[in-house]
Amino acid sequence: MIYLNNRGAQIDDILDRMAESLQLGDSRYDRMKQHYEAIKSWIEKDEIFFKPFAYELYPHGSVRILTTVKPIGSDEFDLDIALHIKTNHTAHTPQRIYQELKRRLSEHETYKGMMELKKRCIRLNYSGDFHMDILPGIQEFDWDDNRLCVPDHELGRWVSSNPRGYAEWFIDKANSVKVSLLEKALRAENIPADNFRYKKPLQRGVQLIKRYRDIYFQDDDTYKTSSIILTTIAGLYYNGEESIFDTVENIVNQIRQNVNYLPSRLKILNPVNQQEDFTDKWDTEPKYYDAFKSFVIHLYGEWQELKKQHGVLTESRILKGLFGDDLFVNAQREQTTLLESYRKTQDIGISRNSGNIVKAGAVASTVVKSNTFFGEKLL
Amino acid sequence: MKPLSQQAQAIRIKWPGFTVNISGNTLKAIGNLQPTARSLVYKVHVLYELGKKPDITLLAPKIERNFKGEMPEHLYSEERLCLYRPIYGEFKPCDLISESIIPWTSLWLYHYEVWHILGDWLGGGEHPGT
Repeated sequence: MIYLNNRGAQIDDILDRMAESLQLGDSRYDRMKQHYEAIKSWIEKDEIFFKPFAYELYPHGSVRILTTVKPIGSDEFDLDIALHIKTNHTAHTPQRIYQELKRRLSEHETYKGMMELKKRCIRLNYSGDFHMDILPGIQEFDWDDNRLCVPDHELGRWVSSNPRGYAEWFIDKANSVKVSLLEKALRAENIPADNFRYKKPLQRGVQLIKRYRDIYFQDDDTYKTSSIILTTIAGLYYNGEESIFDTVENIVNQIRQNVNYLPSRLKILNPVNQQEDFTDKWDTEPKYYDAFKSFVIHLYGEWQELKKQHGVLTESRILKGLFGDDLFVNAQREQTTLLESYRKTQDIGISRNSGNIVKAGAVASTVVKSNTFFGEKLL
Repeated sequence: MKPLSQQAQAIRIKWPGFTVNISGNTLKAIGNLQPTARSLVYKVHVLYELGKKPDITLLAPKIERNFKGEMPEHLYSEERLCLYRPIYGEFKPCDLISESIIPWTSLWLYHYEVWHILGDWLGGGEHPGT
């Protein structure tokens, strides 16, 4: 519980709760792990093609970097899994690897009915739970455990990919802050901060920006900005801010400045492969770039409003608009329910200087004695 | 029963932002309370006639209906806040206003704001007849 005399921690507590409820839950994560372990052993047992090779199978993308966001109106997460095969890629054609994976999965009674072929990966649909996108790849170099050659199904050639290197890059960025504002606030109140062990302001910020993207493009997602672009920009612009609020503010500010003042369009390169421009589509289809710019400018405007001291009512209207009513309302309800549990044990006080609700026993505060609000319900 | 002079002194010492006056049998205290760092600041008015129930009202901003068009459920007539249930003896004339009524007012304001946001009163409480 964050006490309510710290402006920054108060809003970060709400932002953190909203992001937490968007996150892939632990039980589903465990289920996903069991499923992909089963897939791995099915592939390893393949006598026709896969058996002689060594493998790793690991999550990449948002699952790996802890920035998953539950899609709006659906309860199915997209989970990215890499099938990392350790052999010489020049000995195989891209088509072969993809076809062999497809063949092997279709030999399985369950998997064959769940398969959906995508450009670079094969998707297994676990209805009502998640889509698992399996990206087959062969390690590109002996001396680099991360880089993969992955088949581009449409182009019919290998493309270089580095999902694990990307995740390392992002997590390093996220960890560039040692202690977040929320952790500090909890420590100051001697409350265990277990919840924040793995979730840093950058990860929370990315979740919220992605969520707002989903809301912004809800009616027309033709030119929706992709998660990889948003995540990469966030990682590039993050400056080790301690709060979620400042993290979003800084990222959005920098994007806005760059799109306004750069002579040409903003270019977002893959940080672990500078040859790859995640935004190459913005040249061929500039409407994607226009949509991205409008999206950012809108978020910038709303965030500036949040900075003004309008009071929690106006603030709640802005947050509902940005992230959806339910998400905000649930976060506020959680915060208040927790406060009420502290009230029952007489653990809250009121600051005598401001009237703010604080921890009982805080300097210059008066403890809130037990009371029962009363009175008529007026119509 | 605590004399008014003692009530007034306790408020002045404990709540330095409040101004307190006594006239005859009645104590009047006015001060600002902001239930959270992100809340509005409310100017509250406490009127206490010795031995009676204290009346607490908001001078500014005034009580407003929420987005459902409802009034908050813990009010007496004339928009006086219902902070405690008298039959439980949570506030008695021997208790200090500074230690009960004023902290409860801030807590009430917190729940009033949350009620505006959510449409539900999460601060608990009771109604006559229950």
